[in-house]
Order: sequence, then structure tokens, then C-alpha cells
Amino acid sequence: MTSDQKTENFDPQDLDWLAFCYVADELDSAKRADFEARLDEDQVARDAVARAVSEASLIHLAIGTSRHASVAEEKSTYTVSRGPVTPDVPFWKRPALLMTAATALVFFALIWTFNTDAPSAPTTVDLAEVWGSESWESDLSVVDADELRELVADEFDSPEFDMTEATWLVAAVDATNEPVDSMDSIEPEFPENDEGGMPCFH
Amino acid sequence: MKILNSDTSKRTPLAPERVQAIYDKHVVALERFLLGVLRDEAAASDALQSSLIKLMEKGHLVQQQDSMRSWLFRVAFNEAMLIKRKASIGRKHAQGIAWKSELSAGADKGADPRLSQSVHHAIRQEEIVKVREALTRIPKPQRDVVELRIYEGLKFREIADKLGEPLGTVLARMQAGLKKLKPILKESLNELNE
Repeated sequence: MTSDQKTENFDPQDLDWLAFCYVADELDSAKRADFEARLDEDQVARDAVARAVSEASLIHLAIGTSRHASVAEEKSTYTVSRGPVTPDVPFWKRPALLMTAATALVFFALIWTFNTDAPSAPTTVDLAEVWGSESWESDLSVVDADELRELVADEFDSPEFDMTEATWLVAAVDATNEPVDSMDSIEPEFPENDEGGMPCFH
Repeated sequence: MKILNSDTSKRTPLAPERVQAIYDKHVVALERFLLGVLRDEAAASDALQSSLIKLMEKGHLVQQQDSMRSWLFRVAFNEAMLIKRKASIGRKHAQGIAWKSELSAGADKGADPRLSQSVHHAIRQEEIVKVREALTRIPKPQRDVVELRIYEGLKFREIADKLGEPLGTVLARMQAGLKKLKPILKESLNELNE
């Protein structure tokens, strides 16, 4: 604080300024010694030191709370705005969005189904009838071998009917009910060639 | 400061209630003053205790009670200088920051239990808000220097280097900023001390 303190209105001898500089350790050793000699005698100077500490404390606290408030505000803003905007997550990985889309799709499909008169478009009743007419396939898939034998016996309960002709069907159902231990137990459908490879890929 | 030397034997030490009253009246400013001189909580606490012992021992020798404040501060200053010299802490404590010491003493973190409760006063939120508002009203160049010096703890020379401004400009901005803040600071501190 010597030669370059020539700024207008700057008063290096102002007591409050000296007290602040003393508290802030901004005085060189000579000026500090002078000021401490003054402190030994001058109560006004001692009061100025106490006041400088108080004022700087209050400014420090005000700046600190201001900055903390700014950080907290930024955090809360970030949290709020981050909720609906998650650009790094694909839409198909968002259950809520997917459920909403599916619900909307079903809703519009139902509206379309009940409101349209186009003959080419099958109604739900048509689909049910079709499903009912082909339900034997579904039933067949769950029937076991014994039930099938009874079914076949009832259906073809006649002396001319040879049960042995239907054994392929029973065998097929039995095969589907048997557990498969491993892929090794399944016989290859295609004969291997001499090299052991699949013939179709030569 | 005048102390009676003629009939000291006839005078009795101050009553405990009187010592307590003097303590209550001056201790806040006294602690701030000692923090300003020593820039160290523990050292300030030691100096304060020594000063209070002196008050109990010799306070009755102060002729005019109106000068009690001046006497007490002078005793405290001498105790502080004694601590400085004994421990050679002049430069060591010069690296500390007085106002941060006072703040940490008043905050819940690291409060020195030896400091009196007067330092641990609660600064009212409205006073802080007033100062914050006052800070926003001073020109930004001045506010920047005030923040860098008081909050960031940079030296004036470091601030000048950081901002690329002459040291004199930085000093002038700091002084101008403090002068503009002073009225609101004075008002707030008066409120706090009441």
C-alpha cells in the first residue's frame, strides 16, 4: 500500500481502513508496529479493530449464506427439471410411458372396433367365432395320451376301425409329454455325411 | 486511565456482581478486538481469560468507572501482545483470518468451548439478509473485491493479479465497498448488540 494507491478518493489513513488492513494482515511490519503502538493508547483505534472484525464477519456470513442459497436453489431446480426430462433413457425402458402407450393403443383399438362399419374388418365377435371353430387345435395341445385314446375310441367306436392306424397320433402326443433330458437325446433329422457335417451346407 | 495508588490497601476488590456486569457489558467487543489482534481463537480466549483475572484483581483500582472500558481493552491488548511475543505467533497467526475465527466460534462446527457464550451469539437472519441486499447494491467491481478479500481470503495483491488490475485500484474498490456497506453494517451490528 504505497506508491500505487493513487486512486481518487482512496484514504490510506482512514482509521476504519487501517483497522481492517490490520485485522486482514495487509499492513507491512512498519505500519503494523505503528498501528499497534496506537492501539496501546487509543481506545478509538481499539474499537475500530473490534468493529472491523464484526463487520467482516457479517459480510463473510452474508456472502456465505448467499452462495449456499444459490447452490441450494440450483440443486432444487435441477431436481425439478430433471424429472420429466431423461434423455439418456430409451422410451422402451420407461415402464410408465410404455404402459400409457399400450393403454392408449388398446383404447383406440376398442373405439375403432366398435365404431367402424367396414365389412372387411373383423369384429371381436367374428374373431371369437373363428377362434372357437379352431379351438380343437388348442385342445389337442393339452390333451394327454390317455385322454386321446378315449377320445379316439369314442370317435371311432366301430368294428372296422383299426386302432393301430391311429398309433402315430398317440405316439406323437406321448413324445410331446416326455421330458427331454438334453439335446443329445434327440436324433438328428438329417443324415450326416461322411465328414460328419450337415449335407445341405456343403 | 487513572489508577489510585495512594490508598489501594483501603480499597477492596470489585464485587463478583460488579465484575459480572463489566464482563457482560464489554466482553463481545473485547473478544472481537482480541481476535483482530491475534487472529486465533485459542490465543484470543487465553488473552480474554487473563484480562478477566486482571479485572478481578485490579479492577477496583480504576479511579473512574467511565474509563473501565478503555482500561480493560488496554489490559487485554497487553495480554495479547504478551501471548504473541511468548509464543512467537505473530506471523503464524497472521496467516489466520480474524472474522473466520469469530464465525467458526459462533457456528456449530469447531466451536472453542473456552470462548465465552457472548461470541456464540446468534446472528439474526434478517440482519444477514440486510447485508446481502446491501452487497447487491454496491457496484460489481467493488463487490467482487469485497468477496474475494473477505470470503475467499485472497490477499489484495492476489486479487490484483487475479483481476488484472493495479493494486491501487483494488484497494480503492475495497475501501469504497466497505464505506458503502458501513451504514447497513453499523445498523445491523447495533441491532445484534442490543
